[in-house]
Amino acid sequence: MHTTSLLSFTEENPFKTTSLLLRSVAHPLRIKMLNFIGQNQPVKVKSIYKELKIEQSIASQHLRVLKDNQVVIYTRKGKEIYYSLHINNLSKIAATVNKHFAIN
Amino acid sequence: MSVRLAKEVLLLTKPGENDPVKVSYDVLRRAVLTLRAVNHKLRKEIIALLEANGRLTVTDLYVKLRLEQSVASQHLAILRKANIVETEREGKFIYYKLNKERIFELSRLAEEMAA
Repeated sequence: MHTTSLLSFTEENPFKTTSLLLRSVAHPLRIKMLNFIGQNQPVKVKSIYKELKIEQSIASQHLRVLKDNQVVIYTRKGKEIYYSLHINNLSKIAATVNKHFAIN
Repeated sequence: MSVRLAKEVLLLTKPGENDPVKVSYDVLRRAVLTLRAVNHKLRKEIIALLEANGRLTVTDLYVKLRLEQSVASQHLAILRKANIVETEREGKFIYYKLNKERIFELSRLAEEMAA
């Protein structure tokens, strides 16, 4: 197997982790979801799919991606699940991505 | 130039702060495409060969990697689009070489995200 010293690829590839994390946010519908959650948190799943006019199953699917990548956090109250932004993780993504990829 | 269809911007307001931090879909997309360009077995081999040899032509690369020329060209195009390799023309030859600054930048990005 080839390895490069420049990229220092190892079994645990940091590019893969970062790539998955960024992919969770780099999606138009998920950005809309995150903005809505940010303005109304904590938010019920029902409010999210009603606001965005999408099927509940679609909303749940995208929320799972956001949750798995720890860009949203959730709390359970009785039967309801409420979502909020993981603001520290999201701020770090925003700052880092803007620093390295913004075009002036 | 590709047509930009999504204009979404993620707005993040930290508690106790007034101005939101903004990050656009375009910028996020560019970051994802760049990381995906690097995160591929064959393209890593191309990067390793370019690092070891300084600069190579498409022919050098497909011979070394035992690939079809079209396959090598396709992957080089992805790397070039992501600004990870650069080309220089010399007579009738086109040489590919690494944009080392860009690769260091990607390493820093991964470190910052992991921190």
